[in-house]
Amino acid sequence: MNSAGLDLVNVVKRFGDHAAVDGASLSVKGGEIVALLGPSGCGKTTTLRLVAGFEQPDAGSIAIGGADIARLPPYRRDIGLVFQDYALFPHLTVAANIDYGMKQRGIEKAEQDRRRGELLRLTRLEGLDERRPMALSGGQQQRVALARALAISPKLLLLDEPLSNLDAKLRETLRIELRDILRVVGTTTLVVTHDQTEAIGLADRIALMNKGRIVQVGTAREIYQEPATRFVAEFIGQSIWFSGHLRQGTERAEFVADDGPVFPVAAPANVRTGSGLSIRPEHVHLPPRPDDVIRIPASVTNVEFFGAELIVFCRLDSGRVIRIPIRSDDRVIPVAGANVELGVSPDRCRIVADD
Amino acid sequence: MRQPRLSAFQCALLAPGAILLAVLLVAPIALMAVESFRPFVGGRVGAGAGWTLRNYTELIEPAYAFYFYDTFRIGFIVSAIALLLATPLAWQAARTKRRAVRVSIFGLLIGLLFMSLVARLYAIQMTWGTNGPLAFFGTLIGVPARSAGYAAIQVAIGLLHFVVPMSAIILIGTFQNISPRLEEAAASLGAPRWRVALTVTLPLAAPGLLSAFMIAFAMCISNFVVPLILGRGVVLFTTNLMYVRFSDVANFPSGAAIGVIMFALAGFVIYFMTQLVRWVSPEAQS
Amino acid sequence: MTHMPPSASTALDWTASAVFRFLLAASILFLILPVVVSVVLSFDDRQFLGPFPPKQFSLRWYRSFLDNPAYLDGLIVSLKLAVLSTVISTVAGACAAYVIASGRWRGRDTVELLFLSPKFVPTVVIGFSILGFASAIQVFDPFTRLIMGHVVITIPFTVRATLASLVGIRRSLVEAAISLGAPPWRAFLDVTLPLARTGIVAGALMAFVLSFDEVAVSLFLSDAFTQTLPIALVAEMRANLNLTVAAVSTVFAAVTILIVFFLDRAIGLDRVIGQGLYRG
Repeated sequence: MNSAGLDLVNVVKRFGDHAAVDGASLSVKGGEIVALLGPSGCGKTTTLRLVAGFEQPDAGSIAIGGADIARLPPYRRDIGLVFQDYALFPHLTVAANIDYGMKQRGIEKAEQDRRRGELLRLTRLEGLDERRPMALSGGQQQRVALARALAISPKLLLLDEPLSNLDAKLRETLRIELRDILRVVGTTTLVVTHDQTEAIGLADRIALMNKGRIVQVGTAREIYQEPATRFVAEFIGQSIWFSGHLRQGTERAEFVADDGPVFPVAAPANVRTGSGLSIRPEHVHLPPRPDDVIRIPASVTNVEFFGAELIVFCRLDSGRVIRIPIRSDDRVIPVAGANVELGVSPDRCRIVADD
Repeated sequence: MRQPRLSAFQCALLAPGAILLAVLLVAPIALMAVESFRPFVGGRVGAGAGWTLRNYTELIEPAYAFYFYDTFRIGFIVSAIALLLATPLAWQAARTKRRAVRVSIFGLLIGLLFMSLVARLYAIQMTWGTNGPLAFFGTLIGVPARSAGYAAIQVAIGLLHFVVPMSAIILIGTFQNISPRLEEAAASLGAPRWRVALTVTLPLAAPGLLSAFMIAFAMCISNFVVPLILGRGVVLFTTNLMYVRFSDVANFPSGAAIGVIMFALAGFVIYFMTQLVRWVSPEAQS
Repeated sequence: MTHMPPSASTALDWTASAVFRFLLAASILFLILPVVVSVVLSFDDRQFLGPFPPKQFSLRWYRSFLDNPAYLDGLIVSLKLAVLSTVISTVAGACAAYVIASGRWRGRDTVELLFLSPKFVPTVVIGFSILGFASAIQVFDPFTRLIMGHVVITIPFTVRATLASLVGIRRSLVEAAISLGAPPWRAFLDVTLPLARTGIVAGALMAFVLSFDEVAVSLFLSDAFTQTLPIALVAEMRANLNLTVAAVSTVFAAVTILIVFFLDRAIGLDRVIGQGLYRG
């Protein structure tokens, strides 16, 4: 079991005058699985290629197990890479694919056979040794790619959008399998993805990336409950955003939303100008609960029925429409046109920096 | 992003081919161009001194103009007929669901590409010539097999054999790249097959058809063997003219002048073709 | 859009369909018939070129071919020439294609055009210009001149065929090999070369056939003692047209069928021509 850590410090990579990676820093502990999550164009694939060695950073340092690897060419970095298109060698069998890395390292045949057998068992690909990649399904190809990367017992495993090429149903099953395999193997892993379900399902911690920078790192729960910026609040889960400003009310600080509602909130110690208020839709109650100090009037424009859940579209006084999920157990379903009151508790409202 | 330069290793790999082309293509053609402006001195290359335009002006005689005209005329007609014959083949190969049919047509076309043209030309002479089983074809169209005019017919048939397989292969690519879904959509909207072909398939295939036509045309006017074997001396293309001018009197400068003209013509046809294709359909790749 | 009564539309449809089928059959027959006639005539026992079909059969024309030294010499010259020019052209062409395919570099499009340009020059011009040039640089040996001509006309095919298969190799495959510990030269040998092999072989095959069948270039660059087989054939047939050429045709046809069969087995004709963007 390899457990070297990965440390990125202020890495910068420019293409022309556009900085794809703009001062990114991240620490992955040995044996940890971290997901690098972000929208297309945020720089996550470039970061992956920088770590793998296919691009050279313009500034900053990349170290594995404490040793700077910037000077090492990709074939000497001891990193296992699983490509988005799997990149299985079409002219070689599954066995030859898996053996390839081991052959480069001069590992003896007996040992190659042993490791290959182990990995085939681990990835449930037994019996497929002699097949060609073309004859395998998408899911099988992905597992071969993983086995091939693991065969060299790398210090670090890099996965590039591992599930994006699979259809929805398969994605779910394979995500769970993949996580189990990664946990068994215990190699330090960095998963690059744009899909939050993938990130949450696979990783111990998530690093959110936007515009070339790492914006927040934490467990899924931490990030969800305490988003650092508006981008984070809206990328993970849903967020109802209110722009506005803080003012000192009679007893305590208040946040005055541009749409009208006033939220008495505890202002965080360092509030930046340009902050806003973020509320998770499921914390807005219809009808309001007794504890919900804040009441917001609204009128229902539409209700969508999804089985266990309803989405109620509510128009605020300002004209803005927000979507509130409610469980459809046995309560009365709001009708379109009805005037209702929404309730929310102040401790569910977070002041968050707008970015 | 600035485009990178080549490494020394890459230059070394490129060198053999580049040198070969420089020595075997660029230099000879350049020399030929120079020679075309020199006066003819009996039988030796590079013997004449001084410059002259006579080699070119000599060609502005009606007799030579006729040969140029004949080459283009036959080339044009053959290319059109070639499209007519190649399209059904290509269409069938591109659209058939049965692998056996597709592979058979592919096999036929590739086989024809690989089979010796010279051998096939004599086969054509034996088939359509005066004693051949298809000699009646000449009488059918009013040009009996024994007459002098029949040579043009045979040359046309020979050129078709040369050009149709290549055109068909190009058109297979064209038809394969037109989504069958478009035709199905038109059919579902009520269009019978001939209307689908006319209003959907043809416009989409137009750039490919144009490409195929021009490639066939360029191939025809540059062809040497077909008029040589089937022309009976009656039909001469500019290519044969070049050979005759040179071999009869060893008039290298005159041959060179024709060569330069042919080179320029071929280049112009290619250029014209690429521009035309680009104009017809900006996203088309040929 | 004009409206036609349903019956007229169907009638037109039927007619169009019939025309299509007719043209298809006509094309196929048109292309195959001469070869068939030639094959039949090659076994004709008559000494002269008589009306088709022959009544009696023999192998006389095949013997005539084997007995004629001009043909046999021509065959040997053609084979040597084809093999040599194919080897030179394939090596130079494949190397050039590799460099052309390795990303965008300055002047790449021009270089690619240069390597494909001989295709656009009429073969007579190539033959003629090399004749002049060879004389100018004191190269008088006809076989060397023939090689010069044949190499130049075959290079575009080897380059283009190799390029076609190189371009289809995803960059991620080479990177995968490198990430697994292979230095770039190793990745080239293990990944690029095997995957480009079909293109290289296809290019070599095309070069060989092209060289073997070439007339115009060979006509200018041969002399009375060094002739290629097509030249020998044309010369003999000019003197007296007989059915030996039919025997030669038949042999060529047989070889061609073998080549096509081999291609299908080795690569699959489907892949040689391609399946397009929309399969079925």
